[in-house]
Amino acid sequence: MIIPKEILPALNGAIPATLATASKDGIPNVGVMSQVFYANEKQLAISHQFFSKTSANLKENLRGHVQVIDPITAVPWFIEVELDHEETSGDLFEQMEMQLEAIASMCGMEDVFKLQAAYVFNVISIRKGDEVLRAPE
Amino acid sequence: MNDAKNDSQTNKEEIISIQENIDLLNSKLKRKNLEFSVIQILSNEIITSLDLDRIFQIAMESLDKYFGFSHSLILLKNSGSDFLKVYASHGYCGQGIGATVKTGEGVIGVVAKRKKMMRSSGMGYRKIYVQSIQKSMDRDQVVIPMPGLQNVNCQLAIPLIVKDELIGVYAIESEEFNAFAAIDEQILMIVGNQIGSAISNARAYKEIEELKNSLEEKVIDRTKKLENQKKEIQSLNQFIKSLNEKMDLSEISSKILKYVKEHFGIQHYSLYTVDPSGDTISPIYIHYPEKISNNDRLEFESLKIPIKNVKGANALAIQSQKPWYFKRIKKIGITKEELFAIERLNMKSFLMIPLFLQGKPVGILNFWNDEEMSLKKEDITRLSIFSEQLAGIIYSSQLFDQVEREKEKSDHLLLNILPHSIATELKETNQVKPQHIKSASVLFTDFVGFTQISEDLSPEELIKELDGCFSQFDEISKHNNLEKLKTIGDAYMCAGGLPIPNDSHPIDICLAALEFRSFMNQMSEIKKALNLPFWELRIGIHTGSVTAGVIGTEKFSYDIWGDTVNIASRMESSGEPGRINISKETFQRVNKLFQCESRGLVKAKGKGDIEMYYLERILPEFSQDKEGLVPNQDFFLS
Amino acid sequence: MISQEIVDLMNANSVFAVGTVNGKNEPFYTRSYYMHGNVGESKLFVHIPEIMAARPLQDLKENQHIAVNVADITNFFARQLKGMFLGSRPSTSEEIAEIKRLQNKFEGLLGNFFGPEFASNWSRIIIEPSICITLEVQEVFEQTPKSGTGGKII
Repeated sequence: MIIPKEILPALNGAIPATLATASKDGIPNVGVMSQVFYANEKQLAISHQFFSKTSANLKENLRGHVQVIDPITAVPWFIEVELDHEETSGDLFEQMEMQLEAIASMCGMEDVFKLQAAYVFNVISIRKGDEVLRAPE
Repeated sequence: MNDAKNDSQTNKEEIISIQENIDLLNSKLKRKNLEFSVIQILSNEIITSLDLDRIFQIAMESLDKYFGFSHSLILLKNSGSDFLKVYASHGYCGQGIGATVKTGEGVIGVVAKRKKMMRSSGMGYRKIYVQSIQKSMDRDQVVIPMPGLQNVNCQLAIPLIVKDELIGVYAIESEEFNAFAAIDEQILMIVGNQIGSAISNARAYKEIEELKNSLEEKVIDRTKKLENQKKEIQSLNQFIKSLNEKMDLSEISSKILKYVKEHFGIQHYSLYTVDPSGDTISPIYIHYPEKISNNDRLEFESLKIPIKNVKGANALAIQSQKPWYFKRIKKIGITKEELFAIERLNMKSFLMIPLFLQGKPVGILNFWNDEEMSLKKEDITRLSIFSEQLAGIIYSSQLFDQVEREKEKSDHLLLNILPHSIATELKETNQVKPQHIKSASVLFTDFVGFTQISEDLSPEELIKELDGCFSQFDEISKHNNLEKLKTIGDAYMCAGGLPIPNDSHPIDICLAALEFRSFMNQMSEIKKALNLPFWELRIGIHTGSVTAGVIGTEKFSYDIWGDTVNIASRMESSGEPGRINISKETFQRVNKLFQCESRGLVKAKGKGDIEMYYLERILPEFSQDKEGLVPNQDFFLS
Repeated sequence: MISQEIVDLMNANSVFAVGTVNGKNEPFYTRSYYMHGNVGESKLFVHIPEIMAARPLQDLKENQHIAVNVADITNFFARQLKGMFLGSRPSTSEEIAEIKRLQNKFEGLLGNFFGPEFASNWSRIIIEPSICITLEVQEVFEQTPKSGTGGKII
């Protein structure tokens, strides 16, 4: 599914995103990530740093559910994703690395925030959830 | 009817939707135009500008105007450095300039490191995220301060790259939460490249300017140095010139000493010249320390320092043809003469400069201090140049000295041969006018029995004897104001009243004759006592007119001619051993003071009979002694 | 078991996320704006705006496994509680009042972190009507982001 340009502000990383995964046994797991990246018009990337449960789940069950919130409108976007591949180098990886590095270096935490891999997900479906907000007065 | 209504409804909706699309496209186009006009402006204004500050200013102002970049910084990186430095700021009221960011730190640092553009939002919140982790990991809270807004939320950093090298970062920030989202990355990259190129050009230009300036400075500096050197050389020349005007070596030496004292702080100097043999050097001038004994001084005067086939400081200097500087003198590798000099002259620091003229060593100039002196390399060079000039002067002054001495010698010789006034006349006019002396007295002596005795003596002994007598006669003549004219074998001739005429000559000559006689008597007595052969003396005197002059050009002699001379000679040959035979003319001039015995007429060879007298002694009333040889006061008064 | 720590966390500046999985093993999560439970007990009450409840409720019909993530947004202190769905009911008016109160409180905080525009928009989330989901807490996991996170606590 093509990612609408409208979602891009929500991908700026201002507000942490959440990723839900499930083990092959159907046990859900919810984790917070630093940033969801726009990989290309059909794919999103999420940086893999810490989450061991999430990675484990993804190995077994490629499906995930991500929500990002627009930093101005507060409108949530519901995105169904499926893990496509992992990247450990390249433009995307570098971009993600840079984001991590920029923040981490300001606190001297470069060693902790080392980007292990970029999880590249195919976007299965993407929906703007503006129904959750009341109309503005 | 409904369908048509529906259709028109649908159409209306379509039209609206199309309109919306057109609007959207228009706004997009407008935006694109805007973006391109920014590029254009940047191209026109900054690419051609070589003024770094102008580039910064225009870039940041334009991008504020078109993109709303209200707060931006331009950081530049020097190649090889790990740090970027803020060179220009916009929107910070001039703050921030000079702040540094390390490559890899923060958004700016990471962009610099990766040479890729980066947008970052929610910095504030994300920092909290990292810091909380930091805390939970029990790590110290480290916050690296970054230049810029306190409450920054969005950052955008564009790398400025020229030819693949990162020269800086253009960093924009905002306190808004979503400031830079809409901007096309491509436009930003173009902007980055343009600004980067402009900065690179301006920097290159500035470098060249600075190089040019520093070169100019260097040239000015060098010119100044050359000017100074020129002045120094000029003053040195003046000094040398002033020395040239002096020929006197001691004057030259004192001037030299003053000069080196003023300019180099040197206290003493000495000058040695190479002896004719070439094996030793002798001092011709030494500036002695205040306290030096006479003995030492004498020793110095005869000092000869060997310079060939020895291990010595002077030998080394001559051999190497280079100046030698001993800041602290070591008493090794020197000759004993040098050791003597060092000790007696209390040398602590020592500079030796060998002097060469046309490749040949002519001497050594020594400079020393009795405390350590510190001379710089340039000083030694200057002194060497100075010494070279000196060598010429000293040499020519030496020559001059030599010539002077030769002249003195020849003068002395000349005076020996010629009477002083004649010698002067000859020196000055190169000729002597013959004089006609109206009245002069001439004396001849002859040794009796010379020939026989001469046969018994060796040539050396003979000469010695003669010389002894004649030297004494010379003395006697001199102090009696007589002019010794010549010796002919064993005959002695002198005269009075010439070259400068006087009236006392007959008296003078008689007094001298008496002295001659008394001297010979003394001699005979000594000889008799020693059982040695002795001579007796015949003396003859005549007074008359003579012609006097110098004959010959190679071998000068002052001589007299005339009948008077002949007669005087006859007086001698007609005399008796041990007696003084005088003529009538002489008698008439002296009989008031001297006691004489008349001989009447005596035959003189070639002259017939002449009246002759024997001069006995000074009249008793005029003698100081009883023999009548020494005149008293009354003698002179009359 | 709900510990004091969990209760404190829930009462702090926390955001809540409820993870569910449907019959096709497709995960989902829903935001909750109020969660509470008693110390020592294992029942946890999670309130979800009705407008968001359709999918999670459907999931729970198919798969009772439920995961709840509690994270303090001021320090990222987080826990994940996993358990089994017990049941659902509408939230009471007191509970809704509490949700509103919390929302107001949160708005200020969000304004500081994310700006006033976001905060005011966020406050327009339709929290009522609201559904309350009850679950039995079985496992608690450490979820604070750091190396070695995810470790089980209980």
